[in-house]
Amino acid sequence: MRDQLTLARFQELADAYGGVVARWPEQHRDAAMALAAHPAAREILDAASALDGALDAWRVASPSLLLRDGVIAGAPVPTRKIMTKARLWWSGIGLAAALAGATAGTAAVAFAAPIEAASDSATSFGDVAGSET
Amino acid sequence: MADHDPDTRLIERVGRGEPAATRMLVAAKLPRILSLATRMLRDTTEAEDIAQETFVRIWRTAGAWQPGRAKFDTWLHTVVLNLCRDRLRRRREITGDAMQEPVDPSPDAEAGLIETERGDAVANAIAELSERQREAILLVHYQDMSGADAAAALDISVEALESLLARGRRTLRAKLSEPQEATDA
Repeated sequence: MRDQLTLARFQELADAYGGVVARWPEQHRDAAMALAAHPAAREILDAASALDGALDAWRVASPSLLLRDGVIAGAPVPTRKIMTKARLWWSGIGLAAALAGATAGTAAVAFAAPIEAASDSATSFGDVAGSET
Repeated sequence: MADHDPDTRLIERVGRGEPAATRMLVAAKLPRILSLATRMLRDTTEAEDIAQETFVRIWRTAGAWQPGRAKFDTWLHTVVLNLCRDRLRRRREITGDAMQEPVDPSPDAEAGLIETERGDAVANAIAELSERQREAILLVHYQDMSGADAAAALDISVEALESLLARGRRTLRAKLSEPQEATDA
């Protein structure tokens, strides 16, 4: 977008945003670039850029790897992984329940079974042959 | 505007828990968050705390992020600003003054600040600005935010932001032209 820019407005924008026109509001950039060819505008930009350069002297350190890793460690767990884990849990619980049932059944039968078989057809559940007669 | 938010897709992926997206987001935003917090607080340990707190909020928010309401980066800066303001308020309550001692020539030995003499003078000069002017300059000059985004983060109009910036920069120009006074004042 292109608008008419007075030198006064040009000065205001440089005072606020500095000497790099690319940092100015988009709607003023084209007009500002055109006006920048004017010596007075050039002077305004140079003064603003000098302050930008001075401000750039204040630099701060980059994040440490420790901080970065700590931050990543707290990130959400993938949804699919949660579902897989849940499925594993449920199948584990199911398997455990089945095994527990089988063990309990075996134990119950073992306790209830006759100590001595009365006949060849006797089973833990009784005398199969006898029950048929 | 929020419709053109370049972070929207990335946040959605983070919300689904995609590890690659998480790493990308941290790579893109952690330096920005830490630089703002470090400049606001001038204390690396506290700035790192702020960065971690901010990411806790990001992780909580990512899954429910609603594009179109605000730009993610603007929301992020609002979070960091608010957390830093809370810290500064607490310091003020404890010390009876703003935490930021602009006259202190050695703010924090392990602050991670790459303190050249000029950098130190700039940090002190910015610390002497009013809170709103300081925040406006940190957002626009150091965080490279557009006027519209910085105004949104500060919850003011673009005109008000430009006024804060112009007054702040004018003061800084005057102070920095007297380099000896910047550390003695």
